[in-house]
Amino acid sequence: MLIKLMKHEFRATARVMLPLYLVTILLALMTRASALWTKMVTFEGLTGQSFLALLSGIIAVGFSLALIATFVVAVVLTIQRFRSNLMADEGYVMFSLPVSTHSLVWSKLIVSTVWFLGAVIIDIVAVMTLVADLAMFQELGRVFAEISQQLTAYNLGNGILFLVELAVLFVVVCLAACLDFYAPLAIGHSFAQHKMLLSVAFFFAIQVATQIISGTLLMAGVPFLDSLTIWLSSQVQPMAAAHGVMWGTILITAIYGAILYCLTIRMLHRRLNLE
Amino acid sequence: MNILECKGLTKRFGAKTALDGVSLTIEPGRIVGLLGPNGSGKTTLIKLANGLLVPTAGQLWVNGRAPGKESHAMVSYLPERTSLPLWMTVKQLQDFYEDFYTDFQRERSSEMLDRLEISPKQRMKQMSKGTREKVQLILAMSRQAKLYLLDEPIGGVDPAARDYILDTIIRNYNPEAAVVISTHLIADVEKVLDEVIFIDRGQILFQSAVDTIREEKGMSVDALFREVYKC
Repeated sequence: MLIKLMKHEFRATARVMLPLYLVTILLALMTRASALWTKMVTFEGLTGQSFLALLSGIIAVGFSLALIATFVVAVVLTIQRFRSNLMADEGYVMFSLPVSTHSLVWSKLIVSTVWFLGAVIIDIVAVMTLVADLAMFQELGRVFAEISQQLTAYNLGNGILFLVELAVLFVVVCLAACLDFYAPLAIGHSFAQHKMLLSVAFFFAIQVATQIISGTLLMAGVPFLDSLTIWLSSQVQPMAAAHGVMWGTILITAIYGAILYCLTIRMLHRRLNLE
Repeated sequence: MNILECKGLTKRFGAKTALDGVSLTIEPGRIVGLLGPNGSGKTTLIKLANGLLVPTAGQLWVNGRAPGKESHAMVSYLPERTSLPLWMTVKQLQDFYEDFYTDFQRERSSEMLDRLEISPKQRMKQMSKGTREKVQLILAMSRQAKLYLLDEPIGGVDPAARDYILDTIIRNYNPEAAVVISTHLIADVEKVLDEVIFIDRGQILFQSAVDTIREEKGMSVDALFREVYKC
């Protein structure tokens, strides 16, 4: 059932995200073309330079906005889909399906994460389209070779493990970011009135509470930080410590996400209050 | 086995009690009118039966199961308001129902849609409110469910559409299933009902067969409703 829910979630969101990705790539191509055209016209000393400069400027601004929009729209869609599909009228249909609440939430989490990943890939491809030439690829090849050499300096496994850790961290951060919105929306919509206003209020309340708790834990840990660093450096290799930091970051983010997930599910199970 | 059973079902929203110790049973093969004025607790009872609300106290079973994903597979629910996504086409909605409900009969829904000249390519947002409600009803009635929970199915449509909706319900429900129709428009639904449940201020006033009311009280359900709920 999760796969079927994801299929329909992709169907609902792809109609926004795919055209946006396409527009971003097209604007990258147009920006590149206009830059080349402007250079050629200027070189040949033809008239109408100011108009072309204006046009290429507008295209370049549009391209910059499109790069940002791929992420902004993905975030907006994450919020909008959870609110309209689960917390508003469509919730009557969704919560009547023979599926668990976990499946409903996970389908949205996974699909949103895919669109965030898509935004990263599209933005990289778009920027590459804009600046790519032979020299750049040669330089990139050299840079990647050096990075690979550094990563695998101790052994090949280190490099691969770092890439795996980065991928896991990206996914966990995306899931936690979605839940940052889901939990306050679920709490805010459990009230009879002012649902969105309360959702915004709970969003800030959760952020402030997180800052206070993490700040307090950090302050409490500061006196032990020096001795911990000395102990660690005598016990583990620097590379192992780096992996430890990566997995520690993943674990902390996952715990934060898990708390928000439990909060979201509990509200949907116990306090669902569709109008 | 009763298809729907409640024992001491209570639902409070803050200080307001929407349902107060409701106990009732509904057997298969019956068309039951859940009748009461606005705010009497009809929608709350239906939402509880469909697992959209959690009771404050008491218990409720659908075919012996507590509301949840197993009971959702047996219940065909028509919400009070149009809740189908407006961006979807009729065909996409049929795909959606077919994916999630094994008892959904696509051909039957297509026949009903054809009769109303609703194109499968048409999007919900392009339709009038009445047509959207008909599409929602067609999808709900195209399932071979064990329990149909229809919340105000004729509330927002014109008299001609009411006849179409009631006809659709009668023609398409699974005869082994129970149909619960919540409404305050008694005169329109009376002709299709086997049984009525009168509800007021969150409490069941009485539950009776329609024929018994006519024989014992010598009046129609509509007349009895007007007498019971006289302001």
